[in-house]
Amino acid sequence: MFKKDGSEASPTQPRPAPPAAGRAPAPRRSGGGATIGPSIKIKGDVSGDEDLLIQGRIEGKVKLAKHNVTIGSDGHVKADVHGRTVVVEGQVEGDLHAKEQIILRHTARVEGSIAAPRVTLEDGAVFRGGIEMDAGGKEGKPVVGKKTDADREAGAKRDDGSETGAAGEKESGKSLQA
Amino acid sequence: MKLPWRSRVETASPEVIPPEPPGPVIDIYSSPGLEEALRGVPDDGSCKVLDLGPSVADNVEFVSSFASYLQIIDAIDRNPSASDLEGGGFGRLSALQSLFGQHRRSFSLVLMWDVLNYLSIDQAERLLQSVAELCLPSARLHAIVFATDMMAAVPNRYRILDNARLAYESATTELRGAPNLVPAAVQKLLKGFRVEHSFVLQHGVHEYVASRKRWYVKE
Repeated sequence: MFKKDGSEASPTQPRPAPPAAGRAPAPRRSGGGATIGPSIKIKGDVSGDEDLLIQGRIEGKVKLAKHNVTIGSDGHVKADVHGRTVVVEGQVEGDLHAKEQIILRHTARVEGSIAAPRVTLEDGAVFRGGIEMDAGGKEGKPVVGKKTDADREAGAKRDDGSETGAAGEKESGKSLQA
Repeated sequence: MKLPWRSRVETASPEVIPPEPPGPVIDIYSSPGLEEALRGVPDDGSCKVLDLGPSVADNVEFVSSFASYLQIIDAIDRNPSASDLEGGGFGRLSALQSLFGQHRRSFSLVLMWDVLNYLSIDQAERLLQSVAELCLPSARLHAIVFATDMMAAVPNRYRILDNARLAYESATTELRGAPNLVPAAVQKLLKGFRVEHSFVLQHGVHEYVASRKRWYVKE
């Protein structure tokens, strides 16, 4: 799937970290984009006509319905967020609305409600709130997916041309039986 | 001099492989309670699910296959350093009550896994009263309760594998004393619900499937 540059790692060498391709795909960026840096604090509404990466703190509302909003790992948002896609790596207290999809990365901590035609939670994401599963409207139910470390590992193995990975969990001998 | 076999092996393999760091203990078991609870939920897409546990990606994905709405409460604080383990780290009752306005009598299925063990009697009664308020008269509740002397210091994390199998992860090997939640005590706590099925599993795990009483009136 992914061509390597001829430098195949030998079995004795440590396996490189799983490629980002194993994770939920990042949304398309519609050219350029603004960043709110880690030292910036905003109280009020934020709106605009470009993608936004939030690494700072916002209290108010974020309205970028036609663009991608990313709350970075350093970002703290106390606001309702509207975007075309919303990706959360940091902390959010508020409701998330997206026209296309919402992705909660494994570092995300979200308290609020989620409404989007497509929702992806990564293992490790902490979420408290409601998930509206009719947000697809006329197009039907939203797709709710997940990405796990095992998925990433499996993706990496496939990229190496070897076997696909198992679920990464063990059925121990002391399984409970009814 | 002839080396003993063990020494020769050690010489041939001088590399020391460091032990893997301890990860969460994962166990998979069949859950007749979950299977039974799911039998009673509507499959017309109108089902709303109230999960009192933490967010788990597999559970969200599974629930999305039949439900229109999922509310995740995460009733128990899973951070042992921050929670008052003796009193039960329960600070989410207000979050539950905040749903009264929009979701009163709307949930069809309640998942209450490893919750009752970590609450005081008073907390559990208040929790169940709020839950009953939020449920449809026909709602079903699936509870997992440990009826052992000792239990994990923090609640296990459960993942739905399919409609009859669960995996649980113990984040810690530390133990603490468990309340004596025998079936009669659980039935008493489940005010507003009638236990229809109970299953005794190994390791002292009990599963209960209960239906909300139609005549339940908030006290």
